[in-house]
Amino acid sequence: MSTVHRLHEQASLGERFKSFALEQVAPHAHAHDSEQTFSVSVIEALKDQGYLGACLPAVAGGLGLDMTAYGSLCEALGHACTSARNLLTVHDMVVHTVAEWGSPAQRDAWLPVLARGERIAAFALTERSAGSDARGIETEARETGSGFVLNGSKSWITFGQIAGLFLVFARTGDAISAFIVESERNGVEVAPIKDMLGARGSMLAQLSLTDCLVPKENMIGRRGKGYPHILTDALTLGRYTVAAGTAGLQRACLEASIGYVRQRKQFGKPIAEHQLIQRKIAAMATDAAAGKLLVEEAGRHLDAGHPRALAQVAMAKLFTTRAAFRAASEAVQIHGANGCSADYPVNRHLRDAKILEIIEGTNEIQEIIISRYA
Amino acid sequence: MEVTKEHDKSGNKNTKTGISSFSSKKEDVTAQVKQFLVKATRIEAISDDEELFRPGFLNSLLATQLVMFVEKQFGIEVVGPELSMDNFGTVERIADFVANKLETRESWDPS
Repeated sequence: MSTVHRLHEQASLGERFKSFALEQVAPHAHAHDSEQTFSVSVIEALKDQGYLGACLPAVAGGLGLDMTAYGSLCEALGHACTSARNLLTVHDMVVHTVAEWGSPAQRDAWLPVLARGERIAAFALTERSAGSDARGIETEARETGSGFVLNGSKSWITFGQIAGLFLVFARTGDAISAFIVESERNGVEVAPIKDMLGARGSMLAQLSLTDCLVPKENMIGRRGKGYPHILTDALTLGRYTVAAGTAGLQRACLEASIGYVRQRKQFGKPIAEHQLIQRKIAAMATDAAAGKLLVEEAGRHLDAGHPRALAQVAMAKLFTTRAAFRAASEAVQIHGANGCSADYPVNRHLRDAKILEIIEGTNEIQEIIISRYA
Repeated sequence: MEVTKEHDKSGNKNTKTGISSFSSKKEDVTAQVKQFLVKATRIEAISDDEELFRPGFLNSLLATQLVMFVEKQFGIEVVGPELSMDNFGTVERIADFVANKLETRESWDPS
């Protein structure tokens, strides 16, 4: 395929994703935030479009998008609703892990189910005392004759309330291993977490595992491969989706601000004509363009399997999330009291933007990664 | 549904090599590991006997990526005790280690 053809195809896909997000997702974003739930109709729409298996090859029931095109999908969803993009992030971190590290039997068993969205998947890594430093995981998987018995508790599990399957990281002796745990297994308990600052439609949950027996066949990859191998791989994908989605949020802040400054009048003219407002818009527009370029560069590194993809993704995540927080803060400032009310989306954007600086590795973790490749 | 992505016998992320002799295996591993390290570190050239874990060169993140690369690229399994300076300290030692692993595997499983 020629470069021109490929660029044309990417642009066309990007437009398709934007239309979908605008028509099928954005109308629900306010309700996701205010009601702290997630619309079933949005999940159905994502399923219908095949977006829950976006990166999988067609033979596994997926769309076979490359990372660049997949980034466009995440950008479009992130523009419409951070929680919708969060759904794709956690689901695809599990899909990716099964595809890359699972045995043929595991791939046959789970990938078509996940790609069709028959089960939503969630990523169960974080614990009260373990997050970016996964070596602190206390959840234990004890080997028995018939499999592994899991005991422990996982915190802040995005979409844990509706997940049909969890990828659980647990200690097997001195090392960490990864397990598929179906939500209906004995010993699995899910408790909703409410009233988070942002991404309030992401249906967070506390996951408790009490003498939960899973068969040996549910261990993904070899024993002890959970950390750092599988985790690093999955988190890199997750961070890329967050970066791409956050570039979408930057665009949302910019568009909302431009729309507002053109119609809001003070001192007899639209505030768009005031130079201090123009400066804010210029900074937001420049940051949005830079964020998009960094995401695209990270996508190209991932597609090429480049050894520096990890750092490139960290840069994209660091820049876009910082810039989105700045943009959302300025968007609220531009909107004045209106921006502080729930009637305007920039209120939600600001709260969501803070979450994005924290999830899938805080920005301080991204800085550590970047510095190690500098 | 048969999901067709190839997987190696060790359960690692996959690919296969089709190298025939020990020396050509070693040569191939050397070239690929060097290419990986040059891309990862942006250092123009790395010699076969250069210490990779000297201060300021490979850190823990890059070391993890190097092991993952070796496992994936050559379809081998690196188990705990094998993660040592004897096997990963220089490009030459990595090439010896990988070529030996490939040889051993072929002698047990000629198919």
